[in-house]
Amino acid sequence: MIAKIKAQLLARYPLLWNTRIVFLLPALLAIHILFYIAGFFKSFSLGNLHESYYYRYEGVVMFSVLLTALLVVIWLLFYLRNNALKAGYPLKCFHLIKEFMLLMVVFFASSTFFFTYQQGVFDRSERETNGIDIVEEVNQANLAFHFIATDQADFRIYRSCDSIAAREKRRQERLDEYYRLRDAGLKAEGDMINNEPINEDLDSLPLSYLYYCTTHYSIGNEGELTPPNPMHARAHTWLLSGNRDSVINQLMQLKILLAKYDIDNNLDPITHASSIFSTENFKVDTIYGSTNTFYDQYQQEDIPQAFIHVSEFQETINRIEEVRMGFWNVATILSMLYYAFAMALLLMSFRMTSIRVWFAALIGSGIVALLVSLLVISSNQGDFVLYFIGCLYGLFFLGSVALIRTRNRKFFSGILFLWTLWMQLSILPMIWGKLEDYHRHGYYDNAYEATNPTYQWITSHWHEMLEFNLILTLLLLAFVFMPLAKKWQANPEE
Amino acid sequence: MQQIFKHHLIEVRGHYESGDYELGLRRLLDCAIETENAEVFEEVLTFCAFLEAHSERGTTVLEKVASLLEMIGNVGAQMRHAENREVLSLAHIAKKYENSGFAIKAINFHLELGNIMGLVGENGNGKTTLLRLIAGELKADKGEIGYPFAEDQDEYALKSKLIYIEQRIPRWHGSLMDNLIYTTAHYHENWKHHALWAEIMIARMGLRPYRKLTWGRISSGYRTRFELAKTLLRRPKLVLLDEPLANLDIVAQQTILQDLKFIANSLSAPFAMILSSQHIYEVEKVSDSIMFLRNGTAQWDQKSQDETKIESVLILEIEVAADREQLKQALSGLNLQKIQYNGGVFLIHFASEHSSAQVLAELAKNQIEVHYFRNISQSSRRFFIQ
Repeated sequence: MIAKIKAQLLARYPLLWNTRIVFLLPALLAIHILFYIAGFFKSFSLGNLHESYYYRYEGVVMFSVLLTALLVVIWLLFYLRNNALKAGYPLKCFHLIKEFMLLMVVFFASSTFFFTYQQGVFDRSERETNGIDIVEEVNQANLAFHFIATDQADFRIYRSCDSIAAREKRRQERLDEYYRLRDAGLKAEGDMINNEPINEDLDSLPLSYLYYCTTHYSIGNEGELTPPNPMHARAHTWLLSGNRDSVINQLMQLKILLAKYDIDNNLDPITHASSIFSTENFKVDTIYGSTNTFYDQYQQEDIPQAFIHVSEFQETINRIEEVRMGFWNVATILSMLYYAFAMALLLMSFRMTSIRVWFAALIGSGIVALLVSLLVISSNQGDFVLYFIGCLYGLFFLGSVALIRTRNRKFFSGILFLWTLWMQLSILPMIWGKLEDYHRHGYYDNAYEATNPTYQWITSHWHEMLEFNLILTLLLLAFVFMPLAKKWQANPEE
Repeated sequence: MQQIFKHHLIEVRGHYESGDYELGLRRLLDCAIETENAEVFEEVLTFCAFLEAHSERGTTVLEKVASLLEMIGNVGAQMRHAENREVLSLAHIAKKYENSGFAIKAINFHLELGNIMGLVGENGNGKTTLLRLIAGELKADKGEIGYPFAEDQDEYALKSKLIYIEQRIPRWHGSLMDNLIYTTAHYHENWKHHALWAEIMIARMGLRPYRKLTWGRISSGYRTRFELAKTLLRRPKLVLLDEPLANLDIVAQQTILQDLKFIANSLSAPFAMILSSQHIYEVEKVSDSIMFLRNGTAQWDQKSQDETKIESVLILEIEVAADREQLKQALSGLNLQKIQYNGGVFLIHFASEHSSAQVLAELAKNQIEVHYFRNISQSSRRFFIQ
């Protein structure tokens, strides 16, 4: 069966036969499935979600990279056996670009095992956590943290909701003053505005559960949390009305959540609620340790302390949201596509020219890169270097086209051709970055300042530009570089 | 042209009837290839397998051959009429190497489909340079090289039909058959039976026993043959062979050259060929013209040379069981002009009124045993004489 397929491919589709893609892709698919299974069946527990290493896969990444390298090397041993272009065989229309696309597929599929593993882990996590109402749990925790102090500053009077409203008012006044001075030319553009309104001795201010006005935990795109004010009003009501049972109940809810996600704590709701109601003005007298380091430090010193690893709950929430969003975002896909594109370009350039020229170009490009780096360091003029690189690209491109078309200096024209080819993918992003930088001058660091619309447009269209760059390079390959490569192949030596 | 084809078939029958089975098979395969017919290929390959399995060559073989010839005759050859048979023209081609100072000077000639040109000369006199100039691997300083068969095509397309086989043949990777089929598949999209084509060409070059081996397991002589098989599958218009005989034994040299002569004159896919070699006599036998290169200059072009300009002298190359004095004594009755000895053979120059038969008669009369005798008066061999 395999021999028959091989014979058919060899006779009818020599390109597919030579790239071994028909056999390689199922093999890669099988490896991806194995990685997915390994990820999916990785031991899962809600209690592991907060562990930072749970989504770090150093071992898997290393194994994936080694496997990729091994597969690519074995595949290259077969693929490099035949080269129709160098042999001078007639090539069908777009033969070379088809070959390039196949190389891209190989590099993309062989370098993404780790992502498939991650997909398995995410799918499993998503399946295990899809019943969790994140909004409800975070609301419960946020309400409970009105009665648990992990940071003294949150319980000072100036952090109270009333103070915050007053502070906002004063800040706006100062901002208006800033605009007036700036418009009158008395203040330079871009100067920072002092946002801190309080200049009092902060530590001397009293601590009370009544002053808490913070939202302890946040969420991403999972929904809307209960707004701070009603929540604070509810907590205040419980405290001021002496509703100890509601406070205990809320702390119990938090205790259950912490237990669910295996988050270390020594919270005792009844004792803690008693201590809140036993002080005058609900004074804060217990600060909970909130980090592992903090906890370990007290453990070592054998000092009994109240502690809750509060950050672990946020980590857990983040993980759940992350698996729901999935990791295949545009940036990840684009980065992998660029990697596959660059690798395919490197290999294809090796196939399109001679070994001597390719290695000379490689060494030469290292030397050129070194010289440009020295220029950057010595000149300290980013713009000049950028223009210099742009000019180099133009010179390489025009030089290679002229020499190849006039059939002169094959070795040198081959080097120029390869340098142009290798630079091609970076030219448009470089121009884009330069444009962005150019329009940045109308932008102020303060988010409240007006921004340059052109700058905003450029900044918000990086992904589209990178996608366009891939397509543009592909078109240039098909209609400019590959015909040039054929012509170069047929040219005489000097 | 079908008449010529029928004549070829009759020749094949004649070879078999005369007992020249090896030659008969090669010519039979040539005729089969001319048909470009898959059924014919299959039948002929079955016949080849039969011959490999049965050593006796009796009436069964003759019957099978007769049947095959009838089938081939019925299918007929795929004739392709070329409007312009010229494939190569060189006009005042010159090339100088600045470092060494060596130069190819003003070479002129042209070749037509089916022509074979021998390129001879001592080492370092420009044979490879001239071949590389024609192959487009080097750029000429002066002159013009024309390829009428590829006038409307770009340089790459030209090179796909102009095949230059270097002295050192690049290694093939993977199985030999795969390489041949891979080549065929690129050249002939409309052929549905690439594997059959590869098989028939392998059979034609006498390589069937080696077709399942790899490059590393065959000798350099067979590598040359496989490279030739691949070249023929590319249906070239012009083939440039640089020292193709270097790795072949004496029998293989004669066989290959004769095969190339047959195949170059194919009715369906003729091509022109230039081959450089030190094996002057073998090359002369199959070449339509010979070019002798000395210091980059074409000293003698057999085809274009005016007969009257050929030196009127009888030059013989002989090896005898006698020393120089005995030989001089034996030939004293003839108008002997010069005797040269290179340690192995004598090169003897006579006035043009003598013939080689007279010299042989004199040697016989003097009872001098002759081990080797060749008249090189018309051969480029004489140009190697200092």
